[in-house]
Amino acid sequence: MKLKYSNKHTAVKLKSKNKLEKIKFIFSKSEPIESIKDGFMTLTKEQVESSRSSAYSYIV
Amino acid sequence: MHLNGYPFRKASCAKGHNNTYIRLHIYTFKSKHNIKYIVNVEEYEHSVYILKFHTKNASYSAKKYTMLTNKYDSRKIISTCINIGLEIYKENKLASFGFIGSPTIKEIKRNKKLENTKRFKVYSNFATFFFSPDNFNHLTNKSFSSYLLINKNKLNDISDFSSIIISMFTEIYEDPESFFNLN
Repeated sequence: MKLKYSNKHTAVKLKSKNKLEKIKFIFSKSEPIESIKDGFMTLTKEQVESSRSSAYSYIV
Repeated sequence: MHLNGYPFRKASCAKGHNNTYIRLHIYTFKSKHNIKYIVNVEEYEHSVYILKFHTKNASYSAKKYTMLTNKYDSRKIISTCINIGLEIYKENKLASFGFIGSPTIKEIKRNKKLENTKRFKVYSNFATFFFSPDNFNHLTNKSFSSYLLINKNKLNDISDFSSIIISMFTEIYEDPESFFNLN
């Protein structure tokens, strides 16, 4: 479902068993959905190393 | 370090849909609870592999990536998937990897967000632990529970390789919030 900018017209057009549920969800969104592309950040070597040591007890 | 996962086998390999999506490698394994798992490894351009797994029983369900078995066996199951990833890396030293920690059904109902899911937190631990920062750049996007392991050998070969992979990943998951259409 590509409803990045929802409006009443689009919501009413939805056809599904959970129509009401979906409509409620659409109207609860106040801001447009951002893209995955924008939010990637590279972890520094120190951050990875620190995460590795804290993961040790969980994994091993 | 090799993890204590379940023995797995490569079941098949199918051709991808286009020039970017090259092929699909399918692996299978069985857990101690006799649950069969399917691991789909999608191979994309630039030796990028996207790992996805689900139970065989849920193969035809739209919720296959969001369900939980509640058998408390996640460590060994994720370990098996990591071993598959490590085997691919052994065969292809230029391999980069990516995954999304899909939300649980509870998270879908409660949060309506893909942000920092339970699966993402767990998988990230495994990714940082088993993929050395000497060989891979670790890129995370908490808002979309996405993780990329970019092979440093490729970074040396292609300038701006990270941006290419991020763009590709964005295209693959064009509509990440589609998870929320499942409830």
